[in-house]
Amino acid sequence: MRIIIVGLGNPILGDDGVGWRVAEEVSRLSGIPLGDAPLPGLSPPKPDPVTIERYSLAGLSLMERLTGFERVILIDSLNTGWHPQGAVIHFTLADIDDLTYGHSASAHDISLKNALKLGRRMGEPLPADEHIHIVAVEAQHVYDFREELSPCIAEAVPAAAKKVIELLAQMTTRLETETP
Amino acid sequence: MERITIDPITRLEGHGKIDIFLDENGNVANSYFQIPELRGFERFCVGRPVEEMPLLTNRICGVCPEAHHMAAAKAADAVYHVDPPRTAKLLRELLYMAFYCTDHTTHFYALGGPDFIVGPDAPVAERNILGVIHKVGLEIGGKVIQMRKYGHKVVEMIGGRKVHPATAIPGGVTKILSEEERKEIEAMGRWAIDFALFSLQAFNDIVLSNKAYLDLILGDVYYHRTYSMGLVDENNKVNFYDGKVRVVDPDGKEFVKYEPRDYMHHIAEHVEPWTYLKFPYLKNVGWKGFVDGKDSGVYFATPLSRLNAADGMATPRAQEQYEKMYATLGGKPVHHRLAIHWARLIELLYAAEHWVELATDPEITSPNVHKKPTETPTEGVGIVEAPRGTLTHHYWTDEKGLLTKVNLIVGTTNNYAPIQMSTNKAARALIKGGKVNEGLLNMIEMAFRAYDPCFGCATHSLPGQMPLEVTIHNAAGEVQEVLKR
Repeated sequence: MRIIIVGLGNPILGDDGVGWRVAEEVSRLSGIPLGDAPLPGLSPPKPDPVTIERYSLAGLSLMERLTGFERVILIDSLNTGWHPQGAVIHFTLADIDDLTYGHSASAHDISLKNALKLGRRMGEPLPADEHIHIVAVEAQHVYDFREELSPCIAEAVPAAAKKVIELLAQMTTRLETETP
Repeated sequence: MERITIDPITRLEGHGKIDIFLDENGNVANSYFQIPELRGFERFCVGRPVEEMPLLTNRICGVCPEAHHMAAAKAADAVYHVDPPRTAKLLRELLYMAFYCTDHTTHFYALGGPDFIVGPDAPVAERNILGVIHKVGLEIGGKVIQMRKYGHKVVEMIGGRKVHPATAIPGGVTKILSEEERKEIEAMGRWAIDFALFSLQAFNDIVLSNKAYLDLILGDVYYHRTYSMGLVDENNKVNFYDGKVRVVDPDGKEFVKYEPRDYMHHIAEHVEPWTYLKFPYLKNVGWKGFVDGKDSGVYFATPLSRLNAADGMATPRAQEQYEKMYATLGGKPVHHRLAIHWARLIELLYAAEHWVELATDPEITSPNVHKKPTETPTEGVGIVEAPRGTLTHHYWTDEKGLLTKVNLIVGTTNNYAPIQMSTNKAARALIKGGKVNEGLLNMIEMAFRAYDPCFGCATHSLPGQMPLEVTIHNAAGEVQEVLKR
């Protein structure tokens, strides 16, 4: 069983970069190297059971990165205004409605849920929605070019990383019990 | 006065929405389409070394990092007054063709195409790529996924990493192509040509042979007579990576053809009080408002405008398709905005054909891929055609190559005025006497989607969607009705 942890967001767009910072913290705490660094040639195949990557992706492109993995943890900013700034929220993709049945997920993409449906229809090995966990940090300042996080968002990074590591531990423990 | 608002609810700052104001008779008085603006990019760049820009600008958004990578590399070449070796240019262009194939494929099959293939009146839950597969067959989905895989593979092989290429630097590129890689890229390119031909055939069979769709394309709702912009090579053929910017007037006559470095003499930006984003227009025609015609400086920069602005395509099969499109739609130039989708497929074929041309060039595997910059850096402009419009990067540096000023005109910004005009026209056609036609949301979506606009930032934060919201206000400004998706 292979697990992928993906830090999402734009690292130069203020608090939108929080997903990257959490992924880096998870890498530091767990000792699992970041797998998205520029390479001189093609990326070698990764035999590791757990992969950590950082991307600015959504929809179709994100689905393509999840191919071949059985468990997924996505880390992203959440821009709803429903939670206090810096709140760490955990849910799975199965928990949220696909509000974008159509193609207005963005002007140039479809929703991740739709992309996954497409991939599965086409026989791509993709995890079920309930195996795609999302650890999100509520953040509002995602329009300004900055590399630094706002203080309240930066303070949420350790808590979010802890949540990711807890989920990872649950996944690997379950794997051990499942595997005779 | 009534007001209708179409708003992305995931962003609560009020960006990226459409407000439609109705008059006392319930007809559209005006509409305002606000595009989200990313703030502070220039300030963010100042003080950084210019050679960082190809890496930094491809982080501006997740939709077209390759386009920013190329425009930035070309601007940085210009800043250092260095002309990269031919092989470096070929490699950059080869990566770019693969990117174009991926991007145009995604737009046609996942975004624009469903309106035609599944039908503009189909329920929204079906008007997407899954509906396309349901109607046309599973085979088409497999091809789309394969095309994207090949495109990503080439970007990774030449660009050195997934998604965000990293190899273009001032003076060339940092990675040589091996013969083994070249062969693989050539084979994928040949597959891409077949895929593009298949796509044009599908367009022919599904869209052009359906009178209702053809009427929709040729109808008045999506028609604007404006200037057309596009990059052309020395033979005035469409080029995505290099050349001069050519603009033709609404009758198709050349209005101007200029070097990228001269863009400031030809393009100015109009400011409106209701939006942060500026509206570029042709300086030497002048801003006359959101109106069609030869006296209005409004231009568009899309696949269709590129075809209008050129004398043809540089590859044989794309040229055949180019001739067919203009013969079918009544000659050049074409102003029917939904024909942008057709033009996009012709560009897909050109990109695939040119991909193979580049991959079979005897010099593509040469180790001579970089020329060391030796001149003192000053100022430079880099222009490429992004899939969604002419992309301009302009940098100024001090003598150490540290940025002192940055100006970008991104693809979608060029089309801000025409998108505003198209959404306005769709609203006028669908709201009469205060009665809002049920198809309003879809017709407005179709109006702006044809331009393939990129609101890069809007895709990043979760939930990662841009649902539409229409709020109708009556003549007194009170909310009368809210339509949501």
